Amino acid sequence: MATPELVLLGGPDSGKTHFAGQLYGRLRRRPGALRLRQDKGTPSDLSALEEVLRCLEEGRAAEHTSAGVWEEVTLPLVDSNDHAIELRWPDYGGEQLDELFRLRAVREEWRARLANADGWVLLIRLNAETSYPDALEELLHRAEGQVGVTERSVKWDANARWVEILQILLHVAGLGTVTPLQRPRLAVLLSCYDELGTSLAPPRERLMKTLPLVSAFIESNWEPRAVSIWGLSALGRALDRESTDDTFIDEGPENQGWVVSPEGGAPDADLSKPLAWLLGVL
Amino acid sequence: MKRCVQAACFAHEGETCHMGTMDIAECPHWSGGDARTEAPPSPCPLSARVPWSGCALGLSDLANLTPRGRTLLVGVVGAHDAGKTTLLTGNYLALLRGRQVADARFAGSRTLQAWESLAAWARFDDAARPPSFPPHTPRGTSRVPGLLHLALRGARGDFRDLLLTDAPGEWFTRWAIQEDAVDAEGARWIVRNADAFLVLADCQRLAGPTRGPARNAIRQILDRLGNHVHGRPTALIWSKVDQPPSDVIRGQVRDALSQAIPHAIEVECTIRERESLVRALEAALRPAWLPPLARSVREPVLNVEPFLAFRGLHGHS
Repeated sequence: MATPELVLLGGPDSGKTHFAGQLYGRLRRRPGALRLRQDKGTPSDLSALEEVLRCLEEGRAAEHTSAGVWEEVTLPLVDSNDHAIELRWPDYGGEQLDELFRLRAVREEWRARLANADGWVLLIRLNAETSYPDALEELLHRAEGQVGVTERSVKWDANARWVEILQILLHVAGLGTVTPLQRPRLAVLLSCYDELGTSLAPPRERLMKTLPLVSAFIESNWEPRAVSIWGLSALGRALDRESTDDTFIDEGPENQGWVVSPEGGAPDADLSKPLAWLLGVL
Repeated sequence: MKRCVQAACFAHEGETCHMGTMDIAECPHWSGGDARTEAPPSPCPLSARVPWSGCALGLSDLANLTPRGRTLLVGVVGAHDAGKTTLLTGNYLALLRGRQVADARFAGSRTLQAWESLAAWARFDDAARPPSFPPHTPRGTSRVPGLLHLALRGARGDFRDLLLTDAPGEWFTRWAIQEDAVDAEGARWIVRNADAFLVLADCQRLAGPTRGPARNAIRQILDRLGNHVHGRPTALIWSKVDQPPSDVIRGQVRDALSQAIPHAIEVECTIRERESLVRALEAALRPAWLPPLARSVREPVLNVEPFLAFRGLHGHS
């Protein structure tokens, strides 16, 4: 039986928990490319997903995962060719990624996972990323009468921040980039894709437009067939912690949410597709 | 602050142990160091760190980079306020917008902190601080310039580590006047090690009231550089060309260039046209991207006597 290792990378509010909850609902009740195994039935420990599953059934968003949390759900899966897969899906507070960037250090347990992983899942919520426009041409007009400002707080552009995070992760995992990487495979999920408006264009164009430096970094350092960029809306709409969305309550969370495949086109309800690609099923 | 006895180890700044020890307390070099404070500044005791800080690179950092592939060092040479730092910043901002440089895509950088602090000067991120030119590069006493790094991947998948010197202009004016001046060590290091040169001629000064001294400064730099360039790719960058100098002055600088460095090319740039800043860097990068082809070895004629020229039976095998 295959027991692939995946690493899930996403900052705070990037939708990790909602994706995990919705993914489980799909595998359980609306299987697609991947489904839960019949013989083993329900995972033995669902406590990591308990909160999010309850919230979604009530039509509201789940609480924020606290910073120190690190939990795992083991999902006994089977692909369309009846190959058994034991997938350990992690859930943790996204602040751990911020901490990694701030301290420029990776905890040992993360490092071991990164080094052994077959695939990395990178969740980026484009709407929440801050990149700064520059005013290079403006400088000419402002050069005269300039007050000498000597201090300037450096707020990192989201482009540089993500590149630095990826560089640190690659380095501690012992992965050099002189030749493009074939492993780990990288699935970039542009989360909360519904916030960006509808478009049939491939998601990689969205990434290239919003975070060009990150897009160039990924395309430079991964083999084209080892990376795929998806649009992900785990809920299909915005929910907040107070809402009681009737569609979620009446139709069930398993009928909400979609992904846009790397080629673009219409949304697809099978949320397990990015994972199936990572695991080499697609 | 406690620091390692190894000069090349920057564990006290939060980087990896130079000897590769995971737990810094177990490293004999660290333990044998000057124990004035207790521990490295790290809340997570056993964690993997990286050997770069994001700031401009120094000589000991190069040891981490040079083994991984072909490194290109571009010496950015010019007098004070000629636009060297602005040229570098403009290229980083172009990459941030998704532009390629010399048909090569961005593939990483060890000095993102340094790039970001340069780029911060040209941004509208704070209403209280309008964008302005980056401040003067500090002269300092360092013997080597701060090096800014970009990793690039070319169209054919070839990987290059590009290092750009961000050095104060005074180094070069001092070096142009007195080659072995103590405070021109940084300039000498650049000239000795660079794979290509960008020489900036400040058009604003060449067109302004101080055009005489400005012409003198750039001609002195060109004359001096001419002794050292040999075949290395060199480009004269007419910076701030939105204020063009007179044809006479331009001609005189060109004459000095063609005498000192006949193979040099000329490029104009201005921040009015941001593409021109990228073209300026490309002028040095494109010819230096591939190493010069090896020339066939020609055996010198040591003696005209055929007997003495005989080099053994295997001489031609």
